Amino acid sequence: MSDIQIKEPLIRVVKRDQASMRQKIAARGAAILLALVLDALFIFFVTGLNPFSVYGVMFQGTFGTKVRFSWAVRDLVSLLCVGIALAPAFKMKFWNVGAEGQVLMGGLMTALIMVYWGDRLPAPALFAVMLLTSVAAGAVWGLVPAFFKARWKTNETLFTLMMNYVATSFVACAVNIMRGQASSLGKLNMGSHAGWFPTVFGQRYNINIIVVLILTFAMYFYLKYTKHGYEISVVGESENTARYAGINVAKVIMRTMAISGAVSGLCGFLIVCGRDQTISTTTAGGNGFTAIIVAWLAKFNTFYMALISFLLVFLQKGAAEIASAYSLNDYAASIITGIILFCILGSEFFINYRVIFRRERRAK
Amino acid sequence: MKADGKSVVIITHKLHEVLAISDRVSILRKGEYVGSVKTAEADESLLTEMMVGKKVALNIERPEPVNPVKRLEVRNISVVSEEGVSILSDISFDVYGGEILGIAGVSGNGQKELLEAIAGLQPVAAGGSIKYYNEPGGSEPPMEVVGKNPRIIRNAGIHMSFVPEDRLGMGLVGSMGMTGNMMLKSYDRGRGFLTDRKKPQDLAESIMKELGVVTPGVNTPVSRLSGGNVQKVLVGREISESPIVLMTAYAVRGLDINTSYTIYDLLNRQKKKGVAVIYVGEDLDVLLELCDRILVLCGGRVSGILDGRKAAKEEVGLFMSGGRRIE
Amino acid sequence: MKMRKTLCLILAAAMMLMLTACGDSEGKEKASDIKIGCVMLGDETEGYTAAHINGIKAAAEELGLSDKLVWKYKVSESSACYDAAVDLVGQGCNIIFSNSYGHQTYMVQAAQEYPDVTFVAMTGDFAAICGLSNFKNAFTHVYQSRYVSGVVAGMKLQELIADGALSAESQPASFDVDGNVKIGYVGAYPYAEVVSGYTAFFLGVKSIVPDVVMEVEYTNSWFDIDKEGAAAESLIADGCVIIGQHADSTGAPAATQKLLDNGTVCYSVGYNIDMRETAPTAALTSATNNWKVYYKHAMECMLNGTELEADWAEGYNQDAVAVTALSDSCAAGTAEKVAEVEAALKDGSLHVFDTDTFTVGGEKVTTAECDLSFMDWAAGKAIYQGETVEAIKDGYFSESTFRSAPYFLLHIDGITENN
Repeated sequence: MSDIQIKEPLIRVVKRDQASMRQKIAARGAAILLALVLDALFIFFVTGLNPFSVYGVMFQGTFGTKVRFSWAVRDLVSLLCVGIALAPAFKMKFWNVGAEGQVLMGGLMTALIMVYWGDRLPAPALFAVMLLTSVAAGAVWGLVPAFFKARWKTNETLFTLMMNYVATSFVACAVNIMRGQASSLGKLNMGSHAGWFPTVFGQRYNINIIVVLILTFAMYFYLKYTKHGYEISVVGESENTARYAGINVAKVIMRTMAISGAVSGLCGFLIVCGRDQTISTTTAGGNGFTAIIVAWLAKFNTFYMALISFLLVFLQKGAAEIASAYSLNDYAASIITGIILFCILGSEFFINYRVIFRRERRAK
Repeated sequence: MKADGKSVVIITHKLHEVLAISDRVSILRKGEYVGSVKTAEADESLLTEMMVGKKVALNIERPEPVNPVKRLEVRNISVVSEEGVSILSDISFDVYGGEILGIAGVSGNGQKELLEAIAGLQPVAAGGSIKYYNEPGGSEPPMEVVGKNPRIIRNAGIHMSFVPEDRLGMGLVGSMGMTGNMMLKSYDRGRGFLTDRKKPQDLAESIMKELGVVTPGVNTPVSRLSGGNVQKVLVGREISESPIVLMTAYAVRGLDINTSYTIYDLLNRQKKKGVAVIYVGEDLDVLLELCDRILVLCGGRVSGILDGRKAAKEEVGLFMSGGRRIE
Repeated sequence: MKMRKTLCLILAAAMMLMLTACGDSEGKEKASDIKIGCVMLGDETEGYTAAHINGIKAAAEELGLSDKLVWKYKVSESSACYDAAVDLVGQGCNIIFSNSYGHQTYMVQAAQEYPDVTFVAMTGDFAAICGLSNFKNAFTHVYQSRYVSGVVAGMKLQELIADGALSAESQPASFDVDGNVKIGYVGAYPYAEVVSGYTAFFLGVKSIVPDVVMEVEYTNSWFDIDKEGAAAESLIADGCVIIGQHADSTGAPAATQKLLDNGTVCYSVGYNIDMRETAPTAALTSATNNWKVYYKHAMECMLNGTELEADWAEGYNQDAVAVTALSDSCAAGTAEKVAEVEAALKDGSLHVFDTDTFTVGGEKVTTAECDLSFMDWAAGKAIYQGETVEAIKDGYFSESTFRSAPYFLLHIDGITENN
């Protein structure tokens, strides 16, 4: 028998079985380090600033003053809320990219009730009605694409995406009606403050924080320990297996999307009552899409989502602070945070795949 | 081709084929080369020992059915695909407890659809009926299976287990561990919202021990287990439900020889307990060794039902290609 | 598994910690020097904001305060404005300017919480009636510069007609059934500020060419290049010869230039900035504000400790408004005419909204009641109750005197709104 030369490509990529916790942390750590280095190069060569002072300023963006920290937490909580909404849908492999629209519909109902019934209901009743209608509106917005998928196997990515545009149009229409002769809709109920969240324990945004904290635990619990959560996992894994087990796939899809939409609607309620006290087409602020990254990176574990949301909010605030402090163009700051995000997402690749380089081998 | 001077390599685990036509045999085990022998000097037991690593008895026992009781009465089952193609036409047969009914046929002749129809996963054309007898002797009226989905079947007290052909794609949830998979059919028992993980975990541990499932733990995702272990988990779970009817589709396809024989053994034990076992297989030799009766499907129809002990391989083959029909 | 559980608990604890760590009102100790915070809607790439940025910088430089400026760019008309204002307070600013109308309600929210800091919402309209002494508005008599830009347009029209370049035979669509020549205007919103502006423009044209009518098309946006371009094209297709605008992009002049190059007789009057770069031959001039005048005044008040008035609006009398350089496309004699009109506006002998120059429904206007309340249109009631003033005095509509933000909402004859 002669030597057999095995022809192997120079670099090949093999799916990893399972990366240990140590490997995962190493990969993520390496990503962040790489990002910082790349950013430092960019900052130094393109803008001519000292990278370390820029990083310092970035840090200031979130931790500079107590007020700024409270804003960071407020924004984190909004983003996290949408991530929590997406978790059950994504676990079921139902790609809900319509969170933006679901948040808007929830916010819209809240705003409408706030304005038109604000002076007719006492505060507790007002909040209750706003909460219920916004949750219901979000649930409906999530249910419609789910129904079509369950019944006619429509593509949920397209459907939920389109519903975003419909929601945006509804909001634009309502805003136009509500602003009357003014050129823009300012804060709602400026005189009576009806429907505005009161400050609790001395902090303005605490209600938002408390509600989302509860949701974080609730969703984690729901997905891990309940029968519904089990069904979601099975349906997400394989529809065939779900049918084999006797699970009513259509019912699970619709129920889960109703919940997903409902939580998004709740998020809209929190934003309108707790943060903006108005409604506009930018109320969701892109959170519906950013939350997809959050949910995905966290592998749908709500506690990890909190961590990742914080990272993203930190980056956002840092970018704005850099732009402001150095009179840098918005875009330079976006590039800085973009590089960090890119490296983190890239590390995901290395966690899931191994890269093998060719070695000379001889076989008999 | 051999006469022409060409080199021919056959890869198989069917020992009688190897002994019949090869000149030399090389044996591989677990990715390593074990050795080569001249066929003239080898016999089944030597080859098996090299394949498995120890002396193994390669016969499948076939105990006589004791008190066979009719458990399933399948009448006029017809299945038409979405495109309108007829997959099964007018299938009728009975299944008895305490026997193994084999279903033979070239793959794709409706075997999968037949088992799924019985399990409640495949809709059946009007006029078909599948009756299940819970009480032996017919003291209770039989229950109709057609028109019910698996959950309803379970809740109606019909004890049927099904080991599907697609193990990870239908029978198991790959990303869950053994514990999670044990729960697949029992998760909604008990009142309240919460799932009970204790009982499934205990079951998983006992199956792991009894069947020798090689896995780091009961919560390691089953998708990471080897084929044989995956099947052990699946079959283990289905048997743990104490079924009265047990259906298996291609239960030993792709499995190593050790596990295959473990599975045959399991099926025989169920048969001795009085379970009605349906075994869909593609290896005629196994069918003829294992089954009491063999039903042959061809072109979506029952070609014939033969006695497993008396039938000849050629006869079965003939039925499989639609040669003879017994009305 | 254990690891994950403990990690979850740690994360949960961290989240709870965040609750307590949040701080709310933190008015930082005031700097003894003046510090000026600027909340801008856009950045220097957006015409309207660019004008404000230049005004602030120029004023600060003249007063030696260039290093006391803190900037926040691209602050949208949302709670981001409130955040920006509060952050500027935290950085020690004692006067904060915002430049867009939609910032107002958020600025006033901050003003309520920080009574020691002065908040100026430029182009806002309720400072005088909201009851806060630290909240101010300012505007300019931009209608004056619009009038002058209208005069420039009128001179061009007059020349075109006299030369025969524009006639009912060569461009029939440009004349209506009564022989009036048509001009167009791309407006943002059907709002008093815009109506005031286009009426002034129209009256300026009319003072030179009496037989003129105007069509107005709204885009419902302050800045939308595509919509403004489309509106201009639609107006020109309808026969309009001069296109004026109250919108912040270069969309309309660009569209006008393209059609001029293709042979249609059309010219453009811009807003905020000189449009000759976008429309070298089509642009005539632009109406503009000289924001430096106000900013310098406000900063001086801060330095001297004098009270800054709740409403401030000036025009040519303080050089707070102007028209940009006249392009080569302007008619002969325009420069002299412009100087004449500007002088008359400056010394008060000429009033733009002279009631002798326009009619409403065929009648001369003798009374115009304007309610200066700040309305909640959705709820249908006033948030801040203001007076209702009689704007007509001494034979003219007195714009921007009872309040800095315009309140002229009369729809005079000769102007039609297309949408």
